[in-house]
Amino acid sequence: MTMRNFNDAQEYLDYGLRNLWHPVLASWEVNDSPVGITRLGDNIVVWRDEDGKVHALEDRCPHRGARLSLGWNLGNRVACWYHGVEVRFDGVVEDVPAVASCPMTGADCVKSYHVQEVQGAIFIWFGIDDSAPDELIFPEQLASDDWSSFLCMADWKVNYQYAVDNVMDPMHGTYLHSASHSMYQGDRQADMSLRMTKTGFVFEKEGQTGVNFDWVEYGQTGAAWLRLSIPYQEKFGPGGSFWIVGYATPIDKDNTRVFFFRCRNVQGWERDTWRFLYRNYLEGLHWDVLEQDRIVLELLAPDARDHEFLYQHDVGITRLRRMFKRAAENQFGLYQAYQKSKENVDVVGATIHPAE
Amino acid sequence: MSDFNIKLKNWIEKKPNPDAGINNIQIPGEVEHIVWQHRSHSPTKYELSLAHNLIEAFTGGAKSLSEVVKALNEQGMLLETGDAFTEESFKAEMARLGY
Repeated sequence: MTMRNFNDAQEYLDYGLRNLWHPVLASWEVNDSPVGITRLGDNIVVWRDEDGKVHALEDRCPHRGARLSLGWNLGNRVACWYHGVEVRFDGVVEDVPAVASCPMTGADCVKSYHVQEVQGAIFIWFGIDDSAPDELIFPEQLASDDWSSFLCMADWKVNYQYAVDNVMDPMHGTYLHSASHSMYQGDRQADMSLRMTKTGFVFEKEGQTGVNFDWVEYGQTGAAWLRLSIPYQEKFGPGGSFWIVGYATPIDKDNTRVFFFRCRNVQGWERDTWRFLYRNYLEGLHWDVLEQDRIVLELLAPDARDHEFLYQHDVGITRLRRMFKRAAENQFGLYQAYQKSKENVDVVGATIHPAE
Repeated sequence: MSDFNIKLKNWIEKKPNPDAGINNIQIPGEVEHIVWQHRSHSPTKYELSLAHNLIEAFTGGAKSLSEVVKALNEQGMLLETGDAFTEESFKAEMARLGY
């Protein structure tokens, strides 16, 4: 199995932290044929079997390296388009039809991923080693039936750390989004404070809650998420503020897929009315706001993070960067050790002794 | 740009495809944005009109179910059948369209 090499902890971090569930696709993106994606720099093939269950493997045929996502969906396995090599969902080569007997048959040749499909999204566990994944726990807005939600996805041509910084910066709402449907209120100055929670921390404007984009929370519960709430105008119906639970999944070091679940505490006819309005009116308004973020981020100065002058509003950003840096240093060491442990093991699990 | 999500429409019937070489590979940086990710068809005139009238009702201060239904009827918004809204028919219509 091939694994990516990183030169240092910063390069490792630029491709995304592991030992986490990351959302990778919306459910509706995986139909009848395999889908080839890149997430955290890994090429991955994702497909759905006859029962609708989703599977994910490294997108590389062990024979010659063709992308398995170009091949046949055979239910519990995919077959490479190049020479028909069949790889099962667990990474074991089930058949090499081009030859009568092949040592590759029965060997575990391809990295397989743990997959969960939940909340209309497909989550993959990016583990450093072969340990079992953590439990994926959602914030209340996604976990509770009192809430209703829609997933919005977008691919941005920017490293995911910029997308995270953007959400960790509540002050930008008053300026960048001042001409939006939801963030036109609030003081254009604020003092910010930070408080720890059981799963992360909250960064907020002091004394302005419920006015604009006033606070943001970082949490880590099997996946790394960001949460915030933004007031809705009364004309968009009952239910009060809408909430966002967001995930920024690295595609590679220059591209990010953002997953924003837009949630509202609504039930009964109020829920149905919000969902109807969202599909036929609100989704377009929300998209316009998201485009403002995308435009600013994609057009930032080259290597913007290396030439910053941060001030008091950026305490949330600096705190989270420190947490990420520490996690990356720790994970980079674990990753290197795991890779080394696999160096002299062949595909059938036997230790290879280099020729004396 | 499409005003609905064609992939959402296709997703409704998902069965393993017997063909290879479809090329569903998402290349980093090659982005096709989908604005309307949650509807599988272009909105009808009726749906657009109902959304517009609901926003007008909420703008006018309607909050409860009876106030919303009253406002829709005062605005002349009718069900597709041509009938005026009742509380029951409004709830049924929202359950149908707001799944």
